[in-house]
Amino acid sequence: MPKFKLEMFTPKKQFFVGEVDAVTCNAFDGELCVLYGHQPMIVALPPGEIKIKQDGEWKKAFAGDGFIEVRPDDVLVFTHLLEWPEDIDEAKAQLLLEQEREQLRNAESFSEHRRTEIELQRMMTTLRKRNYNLNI
Amino acid sequence: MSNANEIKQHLKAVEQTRKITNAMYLLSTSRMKKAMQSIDFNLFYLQRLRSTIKDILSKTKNNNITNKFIEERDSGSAVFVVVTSDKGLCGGYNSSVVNLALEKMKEHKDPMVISLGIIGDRLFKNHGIEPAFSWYGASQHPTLNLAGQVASKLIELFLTNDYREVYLVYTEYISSAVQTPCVKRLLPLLRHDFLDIEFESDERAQMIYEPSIESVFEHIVYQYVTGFMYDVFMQSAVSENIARMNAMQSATKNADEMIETLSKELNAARQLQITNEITEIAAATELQG
Repeated sequence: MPKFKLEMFTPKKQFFVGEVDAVTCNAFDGELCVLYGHQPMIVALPPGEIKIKQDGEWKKAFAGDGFIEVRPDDVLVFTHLLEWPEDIDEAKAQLLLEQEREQLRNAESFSEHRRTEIELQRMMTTLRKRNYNLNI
Repeated sequence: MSNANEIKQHLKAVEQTRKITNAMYLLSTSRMKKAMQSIDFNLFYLQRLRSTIKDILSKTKNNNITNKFIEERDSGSAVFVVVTSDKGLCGGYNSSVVNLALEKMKEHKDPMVISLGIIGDRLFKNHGIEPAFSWYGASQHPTLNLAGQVASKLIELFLTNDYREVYLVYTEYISSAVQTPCVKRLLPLLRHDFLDIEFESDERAQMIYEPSIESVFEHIVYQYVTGFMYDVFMQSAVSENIARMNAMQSATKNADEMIETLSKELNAARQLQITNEITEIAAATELQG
């Protein structure tokens, strides 16, 4: 069975690139399996599982919603989220942690920035009050 | 000649300001480097997505497929999504984006403004325009989550049929030396917006759309708009930090010049004071003698 090239993307990373035997995903109206030489098509994907057969072994990945494009010589998957199952707990925890941190960081840097801005304004007022003629 | 004490105080104020501007310069440098790390891959992603869309668009044209997302509309107003920063002190970065948006908005009747950034909000309000929707934090810490939220809102607005076009106004990162404000059409997807993509496909090939053309296009457009928004956030974040870096660098330089001039003035004042004192002492001794 000839192989074909599969590429899977999210805006953050190139999740998978390689020569594969088959790829299976859950479409809206049932399971869809793409083999070499499939007719070109575009299929919308609900969030679900994508299975990849590479070197005789099936690998599973979790995907967010997106679409799959089957072209004469390669297959492309575009979605927001792609994770291997073994990474998923860790990834979720990481995401939560990051969100938490982000909020904190935002708050911190906002007040920090305000403070700096006020400090700068204060200096500027001091300078203006003295009304110095600096010749520069 | 000014009094030495006054000059001393002034010098102290300038030195403190210089410390702040220099710290901000270093901070924006490190932020810029951080944002730069993901910009390359994201550009690559968008490039691939765009070439896929171009492929689809060329096929729809030949297969006589119509969809609301790929047709030009005759009536309705425009939506302008303007990406600015949440913080000031970055030179002309924000005002140049807002000015470009205002200029473009003149071409449309009753345009709707969606503002991403606190400073942009403020500038629009100064011009008497109230943004219909605002999100903050886009350029500070760009996240896919926020890009998705904005994308959903934009698609929802577009599907109401009240708007014929959606434009994005943001600062495009071209290289570390060049960042220019630009306007790009986000929706509808028109073939002539994709001319810059090099991609040759067999346009006669029949395409299957599963489960339906509408559903497929909804998914593609959602992916595209989210990807595009995310890319715009990243580019804006890098451009903003470069602008702030430059502004702070020149502020630090100005402070250095001021410090030099003031030091000279201080020395002159001190010398004058000493000369005066010597003259006084000499005069006093002469009188005594």
